[in-house]
Amino acid sequence: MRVTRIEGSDLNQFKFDYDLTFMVFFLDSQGRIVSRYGGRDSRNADNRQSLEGLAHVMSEVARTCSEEPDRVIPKPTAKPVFAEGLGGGGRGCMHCHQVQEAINRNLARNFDWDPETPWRYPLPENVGVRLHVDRGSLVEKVIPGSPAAKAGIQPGDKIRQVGNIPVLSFADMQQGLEEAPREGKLKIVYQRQGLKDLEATLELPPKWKKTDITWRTSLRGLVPTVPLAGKNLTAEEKAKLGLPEKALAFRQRDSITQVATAAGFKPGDIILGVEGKNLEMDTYGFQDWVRREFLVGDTLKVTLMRDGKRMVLPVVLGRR
Amino acid sequence: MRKWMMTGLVLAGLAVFHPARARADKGDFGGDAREAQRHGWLMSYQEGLDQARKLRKPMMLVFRCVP
Repeated sequence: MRVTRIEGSDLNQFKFDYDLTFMVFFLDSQGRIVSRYGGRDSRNADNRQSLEGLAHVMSEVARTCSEEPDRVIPKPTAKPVFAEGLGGGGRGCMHCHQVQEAINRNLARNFDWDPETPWRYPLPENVGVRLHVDRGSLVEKVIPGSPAAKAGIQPGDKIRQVGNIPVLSFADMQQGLEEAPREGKLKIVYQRQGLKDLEATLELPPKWKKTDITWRTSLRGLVPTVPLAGKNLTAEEKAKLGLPEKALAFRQRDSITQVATAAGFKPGDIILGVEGKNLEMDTYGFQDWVRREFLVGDTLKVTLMRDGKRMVLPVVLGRR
Repeated sequence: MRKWMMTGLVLAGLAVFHPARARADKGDFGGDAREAQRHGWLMSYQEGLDQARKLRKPMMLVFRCVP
């Protein structure tokens, strides 16, 4: 079944990342959700999906419906919520990202918006797990030192449940992570070598949901403009200043933004880093890094060199 | 039972991913529901649910944002 208009669908039942333009739900014959397929990261829209991956999840759905028919998400008992009731969207078809924009507006209006609200639908990597693109919920990699590694999850394990969400796919795991607390414990069920279900508890550190929002249409107003730009210093210039060869170091160009001028920056300042961090990147990498790591309204404490002296200048990031 | 269900799912999948259906994958039907239906897609949730109940098969529901 193909739905090209979000209006008329109960958002309490069909919860997904509304910044996506494609999402599949697998339902049992009673209309209960068995699994989802879709999802992306900030690099591109497709690298978390494949035909093999879709076929694998379809096969898992068929197996689940046949062998574990109760492993589904019950239908919501709450009153249905429809996109058209959220406001916004203008005339004609309401795009999915407009649903999220309307939700964001309502959160702000009700004073429920806070600095962590933008970190939605964390990637499995946020808890230290990389899933195999072609094999649903099969763990391909575990990041050393991550919550998953500390909980004993290993490559080759199959994630079966995250919180209260049964997991067959990347999208299921993202839904489980979306519904997980911002800090604290998260129950995860997994299988090793196809044997019985095992349980583990992930210890979620503060801000574990932080993700790159630069691709999200609904949050484009939060992706900042970086007010500083210029030419990279050469290796010789860096050596003369006693800077490592790979360290960030660029000379602020003559045309300088009003924001930077107001913050006290001058043409010719050599930008070295932020928040005292040693950054190994060039000027373009710096722009991307700031856009990924900070939001509009954040203050950037920039380390720079002027007339041979190091100093720190704060600058508030503005909109694009 | 599993094989039977898998056949249903695979057929639904083919509706999306068969090369001849590549336009559907790219969203080229636009808002043309009739064209999509001609390629085997159901467009009504209730109709899909009724069929799934009748056939006792799982249902694949695709949300596709058409620009």
